[in-house]
Amino acid sequence: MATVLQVTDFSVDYRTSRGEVRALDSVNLKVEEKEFIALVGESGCGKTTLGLATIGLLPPKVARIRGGIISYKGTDLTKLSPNAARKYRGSEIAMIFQEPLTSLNPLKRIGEQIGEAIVLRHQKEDPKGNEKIPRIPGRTWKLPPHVREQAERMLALVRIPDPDHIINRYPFELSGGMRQRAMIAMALSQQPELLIADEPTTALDVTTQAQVLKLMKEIKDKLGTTIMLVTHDLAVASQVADRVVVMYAGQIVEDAEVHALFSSPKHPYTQGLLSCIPTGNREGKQLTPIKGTIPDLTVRRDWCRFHPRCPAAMDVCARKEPLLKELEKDHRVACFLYGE
Amino acid sequence: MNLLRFLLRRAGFAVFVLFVVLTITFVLSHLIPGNVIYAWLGREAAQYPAVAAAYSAKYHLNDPIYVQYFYYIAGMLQGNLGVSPSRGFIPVSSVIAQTLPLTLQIVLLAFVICVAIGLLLGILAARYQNSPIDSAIRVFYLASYSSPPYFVGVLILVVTSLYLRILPTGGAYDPLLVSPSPSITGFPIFDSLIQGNFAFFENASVHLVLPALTLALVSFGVITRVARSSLLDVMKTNYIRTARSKGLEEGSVFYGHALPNAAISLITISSLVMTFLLTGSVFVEYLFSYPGLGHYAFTALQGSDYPGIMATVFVFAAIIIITNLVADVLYALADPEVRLG
Amino acid sequence: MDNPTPPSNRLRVGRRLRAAIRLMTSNKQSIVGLVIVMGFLIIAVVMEVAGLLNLQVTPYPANPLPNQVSAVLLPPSLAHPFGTDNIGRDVFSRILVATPYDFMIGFAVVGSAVIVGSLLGGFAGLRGGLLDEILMRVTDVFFALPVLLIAMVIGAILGGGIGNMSVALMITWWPPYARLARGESLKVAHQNYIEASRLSGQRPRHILFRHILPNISGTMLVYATLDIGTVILVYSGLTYLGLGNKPPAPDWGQMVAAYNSWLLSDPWLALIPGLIISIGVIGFSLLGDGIKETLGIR
Repeated sequence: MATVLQVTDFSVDYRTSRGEVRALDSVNLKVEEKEFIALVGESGCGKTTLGLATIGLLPPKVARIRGGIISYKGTDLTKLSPNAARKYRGSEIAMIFQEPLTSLNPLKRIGEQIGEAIVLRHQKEDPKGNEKIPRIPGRTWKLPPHVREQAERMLALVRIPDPDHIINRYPFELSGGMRQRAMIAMALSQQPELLIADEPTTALDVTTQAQVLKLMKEIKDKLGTTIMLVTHDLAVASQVADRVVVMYAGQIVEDAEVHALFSSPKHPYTQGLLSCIPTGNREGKQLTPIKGTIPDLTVRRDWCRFHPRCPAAMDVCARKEPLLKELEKDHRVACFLYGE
Repeated sequence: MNLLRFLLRRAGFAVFVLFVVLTITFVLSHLIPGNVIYAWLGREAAQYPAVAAAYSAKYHLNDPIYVQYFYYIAGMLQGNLGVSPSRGFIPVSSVIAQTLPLTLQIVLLAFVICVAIGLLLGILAARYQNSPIDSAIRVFYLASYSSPPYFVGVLILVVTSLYLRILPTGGAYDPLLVSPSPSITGFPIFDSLIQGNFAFFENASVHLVLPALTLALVSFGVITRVARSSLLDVMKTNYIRTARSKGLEEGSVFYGHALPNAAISLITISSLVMTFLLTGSVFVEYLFSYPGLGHYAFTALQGSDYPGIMATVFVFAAIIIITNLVADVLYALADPEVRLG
Repeated sequence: MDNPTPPSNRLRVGRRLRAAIRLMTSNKQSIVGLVIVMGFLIIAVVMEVAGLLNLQVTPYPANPLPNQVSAVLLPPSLAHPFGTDNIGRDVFSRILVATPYDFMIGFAVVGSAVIVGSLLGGFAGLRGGLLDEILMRVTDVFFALPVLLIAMVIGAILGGGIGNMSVALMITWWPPYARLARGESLKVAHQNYIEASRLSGQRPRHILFRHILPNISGTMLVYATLDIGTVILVYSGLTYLGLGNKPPAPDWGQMVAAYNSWLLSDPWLALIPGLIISIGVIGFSLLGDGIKETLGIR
């Protein structure tokens, strides 16, 4: 299978009032075509940053790329000019976000917002055609019939009932789950190769969450879209992902196929995370949270970020930084427990 | 339908505030030192006791207070505003009929200029945030809303008349050169245009420019500031990020998504701007000897012309209240949550 | 769940004062504004004291007797920095003498507005119910009325002068502060520690001062600072219309109107008082914006 995304030694700094924070530190990742991969970790571990960096939406004044490469189908996205990078957004790489209400323009109807994406696709397919998105501020855009039809089809694809009705609705008129589906429809309108989903279900209730996840799996199966799901919830990852990448403090600590990760987690952090999840068959046993908190990322460290909280910490962990190594087939860990 | 209920509520409120204004003027008319008849005839009424007595009967000024109140409201709403000593005792309502259109001409022109300048600078400042352009614009709008209208007016007068010697310095038109057309709409500018009296149209328009410009210059500041901060806020939102994630170019993002959303907050500001313009017209019309309602208010004040003062304040307040209502309506139409919610 | 522990917001005057001074000198804008404001303030205080003691500290008397006047309509010079007017009065001295009125009225009106508004709004938000409803309607009406015009009519009918105008302005200026206090008070009133406070028998006034007011003091400071400039602007407008102190007592706005006839021949007469007003207002605008930037308030 072809490699869609290759991240090599990628680092990003954020400028904050407390100093420069290293949000991503020499991250290495490979995503294959049609894979469903989940980036999992606590808040602040860098998973969202990696997603934003891939699509090129890092906040320009605050975030600085410090090195490394994000290669999409052979092209280094980080070295592109802003205009060149923009051409990949939407049409090759699309993204959906956590809060569907604030992520949709409150003053534009659903149909208009999806329609924009559809017209963008038409413009790309036929640069000489004269399809245009109206730039008149405030005027409601009456969709041309073929655009409208395609928008309705996209809505049907994400299983929104009554698409011809929803097309004319505003975001505030939809429920949270429907808004998220609408966002997915919008993101898929340009038929992207890679879809990045940043915590799409966090703001939803459990039932809706399950529906949206099921939808995403369907999309991967039916359309062949590669999906990168960013989440803090391991349970969510276990439901849908083919592969899980565990991140901590800006680094990848474990990267494995989903069954392998859950049946034999190698990194102490992963093991800790798994024992935090309430499951049915641990009656009587206490949930064991991981002691301590994430480290201060303004301070550069040349040792294992996790070792202060690690129950299996050794001397070497405080002196050197473990690198991500392939232990078994397709199972990578960054930990000195498995050799130096 | 929710929209209808909302609009009815706002209209009802507008009417209520109008009554409050009338009540205030009513109370004040009774606080005039001397006789309450001064509120209708001016101080001069003291010299004409017979006339004063006749008017007292006509305006029910000898009846109990609540009766007086009723007739006061009824009278004011019918246009019965007393006579104006400072204008030779002609009915106040006819003075207003003459002067109001002139003031509206200036105020509307000033509004258009003001919004144009304000929006333009606000957009520039937001687009080039924190650059020297932004700082320069900042100086302009700071000066704009910190300067009294009469200062800016004086400045403009001095500069144009003394140094540039371009534009005329007084009145609504030069009576020795042109004369107005018969009244159709009540607005001399439009009347002359409709009837082909281009000489008057040109002359009167030229006389409009300086007062309107002065008013606009002291009012655009607030629009620029709100437009700028509103645009900057909108550019930070999640939906702008989503728009970019679709691959839209910055221009489309800014003009198609950010600007319309920011513009809504400008609707509320517009009624505030109208308030500035109307109160400013009192000073500016005096300065440029422009015979509008503001000028009348000023001379009425100087001459203790109580009927004139109260009537002009009532009319100004009414216009402001109507403007607020219009702004409410526009906002309701623009914001889908209000329109459909 | 929230812990019923209040944030530590003690209303210690000394500490708050030092914090306020730090705020006002925190960035370039606010420093420039502060310099301007302090300049005017010092002049106002000096002139007020001098007035009370009946001393003349200005280079020339502001209301000179016929034998004390200088030559008429002199342009600005070293002897007369702002020139002389049509009666030969030194314009510079007149502007100085008007400062305590035209400048300090800002503080008086905004000060009373802050106090009245905070108390009314704070209590209304805490109590809720009918009191709150009434307050909202009343402030709604005030917002719809043109303040300058109402003050104008009051002045016309009851007579002008700084006393009457101050009262007229104070009556109309408090609503925005009441709204501000009410908003914050509503936000805070439902938090658990307030419930705890109430249950333990604390009186509303205590809650108001300890919890509500400190939270809004930042926003209020910014708004009040900008507002003082607005009051100065409005009052100058009123004096321009003739509603200020009786002549020959000088007022900045009144001077601009009085010197209107010499606009084209001796423009400095009308321009300078107007410029002084603008500078004063700009000072407050800079100071207010500077504080706003530091506090990160909208």
